[in-house]
Amino acid sequence: MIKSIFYSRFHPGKGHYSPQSVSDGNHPAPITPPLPPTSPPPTSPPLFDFETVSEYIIPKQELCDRLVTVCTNKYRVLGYPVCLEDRKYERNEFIFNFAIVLDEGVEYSTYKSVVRKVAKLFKALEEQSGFLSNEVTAVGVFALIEQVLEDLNNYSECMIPINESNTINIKLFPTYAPPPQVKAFHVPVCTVQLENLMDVNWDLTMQKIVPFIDGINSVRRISELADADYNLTRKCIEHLLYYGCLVMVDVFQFGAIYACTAEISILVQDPSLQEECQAYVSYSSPRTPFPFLLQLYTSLTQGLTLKKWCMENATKLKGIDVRRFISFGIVKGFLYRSHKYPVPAEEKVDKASPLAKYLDGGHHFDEICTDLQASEKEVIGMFEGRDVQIVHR
Amino acid sequence: MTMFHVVFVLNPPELEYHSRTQEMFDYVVKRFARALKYEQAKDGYVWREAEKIVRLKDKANHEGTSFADLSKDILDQSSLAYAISRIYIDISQSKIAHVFLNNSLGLSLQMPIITEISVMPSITEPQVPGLPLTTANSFGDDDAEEDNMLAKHFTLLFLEDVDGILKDIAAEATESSASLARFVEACKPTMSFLQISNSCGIPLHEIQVMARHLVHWRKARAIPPIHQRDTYIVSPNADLRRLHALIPIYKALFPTIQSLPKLLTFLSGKPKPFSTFIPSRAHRPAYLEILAFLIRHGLVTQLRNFAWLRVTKQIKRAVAAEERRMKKSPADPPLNSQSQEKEKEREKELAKMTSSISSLLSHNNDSDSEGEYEDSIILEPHQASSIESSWLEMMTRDQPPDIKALFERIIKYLNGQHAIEKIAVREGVARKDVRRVLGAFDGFVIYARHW
Repeated sequence: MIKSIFYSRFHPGKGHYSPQSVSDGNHPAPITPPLPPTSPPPTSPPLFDFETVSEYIIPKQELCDRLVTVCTNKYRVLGYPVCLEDRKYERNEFIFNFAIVLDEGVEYSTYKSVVRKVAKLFKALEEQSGFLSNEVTAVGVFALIEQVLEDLNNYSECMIPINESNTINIKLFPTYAPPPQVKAFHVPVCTVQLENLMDVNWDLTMQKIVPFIDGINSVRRISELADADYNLTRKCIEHLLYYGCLVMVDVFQFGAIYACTAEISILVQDPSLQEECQAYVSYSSPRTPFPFLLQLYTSLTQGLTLKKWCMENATKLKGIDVRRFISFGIVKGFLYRSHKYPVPAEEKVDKASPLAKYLDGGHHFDEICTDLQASEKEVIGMFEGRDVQIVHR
Repeated sequence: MTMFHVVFVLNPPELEYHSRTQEMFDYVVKRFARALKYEQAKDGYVWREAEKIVRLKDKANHEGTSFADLSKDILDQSSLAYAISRIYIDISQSKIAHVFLNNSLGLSLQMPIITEISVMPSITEPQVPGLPLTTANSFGDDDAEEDNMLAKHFTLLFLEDVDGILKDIAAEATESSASLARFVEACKPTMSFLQISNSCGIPLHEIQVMARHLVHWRKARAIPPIHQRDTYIVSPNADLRRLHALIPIYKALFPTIQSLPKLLTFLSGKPKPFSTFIPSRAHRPAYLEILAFLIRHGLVTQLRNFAWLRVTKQIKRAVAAEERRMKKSPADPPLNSQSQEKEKEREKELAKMTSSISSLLSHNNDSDSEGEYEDSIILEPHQASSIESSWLEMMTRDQPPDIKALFERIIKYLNGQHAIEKIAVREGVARKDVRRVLGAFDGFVIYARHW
């Protein structure tokens, strides 16, 4: 949320001078220095003291034409001062700055491009037609920045015509964290209806693989079934992960071991999550009451394979889809998969053998089986001759 | 000189920009600048050093010495330059920077690091591997403890060798060094602060202050005391890549015990109390030391029990039936001559029942007397509503009075937020009594085991 946008320029007579400022409806106007007589006088305390930071709003030439950010009084002032040199100006230069005021702690990377764009636009306007230095047209700046503030805060985008030949087009794009690496043994689960969003203009590999993303196939399997290159498939999945269309789970197998995490208490305290769980997990009409599901979830423990657990709890599992039961827990974070890692019993490892690279403690059986396209039994057989311990974690 | 400015140049990643700059400013820049301001005000230290550096630069300019030689000279001769370089090198590596200014002011600076996590990293949110995983809150979660004091039922696990720490303490001899050294020697990860205080005579408050000091300077971590009756598992966040480096260290410390990977394999099976892995009573101290070693390196974490109370259909039906009976015959004369107190008690019960009946009727859509009930969980037994209290009362009805009394005491821990292991310690009750009580309510308790 932008708190305020203001336009300031260097006035040869009055020094630093902020003729136009607009604030978000709920917040007081920011400036203390003299305003032109047409603006309403500030009725509430300013957001920050302009004098203390005026050197960074209207700085010396060296700091111009770059993004300058100042934090003051718990506010962040993002500005892009521009300096135009021309003999027609008094003192041969015209310095101005359109600055945005935000709360200090707010994530502001999207606003950097906004400030840059606005500054470049007005620089072009000033160079072409003296838009800002001409007192007549400069009056319109107030209405303009007011409109920009309203639109960006309400719609995250704005498209405002300035005159017949110029418009301000701004859109705020959120910054997402870079996605973690996707591995061959990860299983993507869709959280949006990709088929509905997709159209013929999408990337070819993406179009090929989307039908196979069903929450059961691993990335490797998807690339095989779709007959697409594995690396391209992986990149597509990473893109979908970046935009939040997918979550990742592990390969479902009855030899796997699952256990509760500390997040199970969140499930117990949230009735809507419990409803969701009951709906997702039961496949026949009398829905299993939540405490029975909780009992089942908490009976999963380290060292107990899913197969054994199913056998022990066969009667209690009537009407419950085990695969959905497990994947609900993994996706919501209150179950975790306990993987098996082969580690050498002694520190020395025979570097020559092809399996040596898997013995550094960073690769679990899911990964090894997917890479070698072998079953767990076969892989254990391969480790036979060596002194290898299997650690679950 | 009217103004000086220590400038730190950072390039943090986009999404962490503000938090990183704020942290650097709060913990390093502000403190360093303040120290320099003090020294400058005292005897013009900063100006002297600045002049010294400028003179060295001029000299180098004249004599044409190389930049490498010049920087070496400056670092040798100017303590301010050296301090700045120390801060740069150490803070960039997330270590503690110790600087010594003007031959008189020693300053230690560090950025706070995350020492443990309670949420396990998932496939899509990877975190630093090897961080200890636990929900044990070392500052205690009730208001009995003062702010910022480590809970008295915790203890310290040293992250460096005790000998090294004692040497460091001896090197910086201050008035409190003696008691600090005594505390460090007396401190064992199997005894809580309270027990250490009782055994070696240092007052508890002093111990808590010293412990907090040691934790702040990254010499130790606060953990619940380790015990062979507790259950430990291989930590889901263990960094197995480090095993390679740890195996020789382990072998040097514990040459006669089985190898590290083998031990971890034993701990990988179904969780059992640690005592099942100890071959004999004589091995116990060595194995507890091994456990401390494993926890210190984040390979192993304690598996704790958390419990919720579950109300079954039968209980709900029984309570509803009883209420209906009460409602139908409120004017029945007492069966035998009863004293006034009993009468009052009955009235109170009746009042409670009628209010819970009305709440039941308003909740249930089928006000049919044979209404269907579903099992449910009581989220906060300590603050039970009236209907929940009547369910609880029905659950405890047939139990002997001592079990009932103990149950009342521990009921506040049965909301899934408190580890059962700490009930015995907090309430001063024997573990087997707690087990007995919880055993009596076996059908009504759901346990979850996690860290």
